[in-house]
Amino acid sequence: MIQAHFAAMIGVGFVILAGCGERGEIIVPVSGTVRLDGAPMAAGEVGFITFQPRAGRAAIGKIDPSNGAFTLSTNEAGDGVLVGEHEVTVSVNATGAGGNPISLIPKKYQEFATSGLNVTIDGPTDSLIIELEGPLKRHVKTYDPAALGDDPGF
Amino acid sequence: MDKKNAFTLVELLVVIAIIGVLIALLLPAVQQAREAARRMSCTNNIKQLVLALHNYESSFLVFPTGRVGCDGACDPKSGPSTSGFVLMLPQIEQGALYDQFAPYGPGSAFPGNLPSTVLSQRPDAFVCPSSIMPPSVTLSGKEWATSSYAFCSGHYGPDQGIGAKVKWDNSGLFIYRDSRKISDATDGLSNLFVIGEVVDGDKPTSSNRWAIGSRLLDSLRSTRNPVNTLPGMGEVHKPYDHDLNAAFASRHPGGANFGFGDGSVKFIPETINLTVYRNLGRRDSGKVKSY
Repeated sequence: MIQAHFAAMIGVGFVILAGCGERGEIIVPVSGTVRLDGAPMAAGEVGFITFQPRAGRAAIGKIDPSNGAFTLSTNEAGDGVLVGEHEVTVSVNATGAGGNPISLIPKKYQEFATSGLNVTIDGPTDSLIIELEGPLKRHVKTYDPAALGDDPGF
Repeated sequence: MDKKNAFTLVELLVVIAIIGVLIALLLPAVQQAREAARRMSCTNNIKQLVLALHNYESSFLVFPTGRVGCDGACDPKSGPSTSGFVLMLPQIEQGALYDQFAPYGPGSAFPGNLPSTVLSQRPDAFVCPSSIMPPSVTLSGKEWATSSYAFCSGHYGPDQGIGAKVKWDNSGLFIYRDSRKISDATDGLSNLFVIGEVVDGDKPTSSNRWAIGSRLLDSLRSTRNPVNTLPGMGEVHKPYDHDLNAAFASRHPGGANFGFGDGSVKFIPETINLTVYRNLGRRDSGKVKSY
């Protein structure tokens, strides 16, 4: 009789513990390369790539100015991106006149609505390729913020 | 043999075991209750600030400007960097503190010779109880009080560098130089962030001094990056030595509190769709903002 009570208690304990698991969202490490007109994008300025899932937190990665390489981060640096379908945007800006940005790649890639980039993430990868079409703006005149009279705030 | 009226050892052990399990379940819950209480207190702070904004609006028919003056890129050049939080001090019953700031208004340099004893004042309403940032930071030889809250300047952020879109042409209600009116919020005040939370206001990547308004930093943040993007992470702009992300963030697990223009304060989860979140920072997006 007492053994039966113990067994029941242990059973209830397991049921309670089972409720303490992780949430169902799976984040997998993802890195890759942005390619422009078929070659790794060497924009000369730092760019950013944003992955927006259907539901859940977006992931952002910094694009290497020399070879287009990026690593995505959702909550912590380099942790990756949620599994599933994503809309993707890419922005690469230089500091132009008045501190305003000059987009070095076609502006449509900056907005989810117009970028036309959709990626499905099934699992971890280190070789995701994002293909863009140029033209890439080169030899853009950039400005030093201090010379623009920008108040640095300190 | 007469039956003894007492508990057996096994019965006692079972009771102790059950009590042990219950305590084990309860203890972590108590810690959560403390955080929930801090969050509630934080919500109240934001509510008071939005109420103060509306009192200001009742007096002057506009909301306070995000930052009193402009800088080199717009006229008047080199205006004071005084933030809107200074302008609304009388509305949060800090009139005496406001009087100390008053001589450093438009047409004069800020902070000028305003002493650190004034700049390091930190009204309770500017501090979230969950905040772990130091109460002040020393910059340019002055000691500045940090704050847990910043105005929502709009949805333009580091993507716009330090250009017009993050200074006097951002999409929210609080910008450089100009004051905006309730009627400017054509999306409706109940669909628009006015105040959000900020962490690490003492760090150069996330400086947040309530007395100063500065693009991508102090008192003027944007919804470009997801909520709770930590300093230095996400999409950043690096005008000088530091990566600035202009993001709202909190120490509350899973999201951050935001004050809406209508005075409601809601906890926005980290998992909110980024497009919707960005639109919540815009006063005239014309978009549906359900989440």
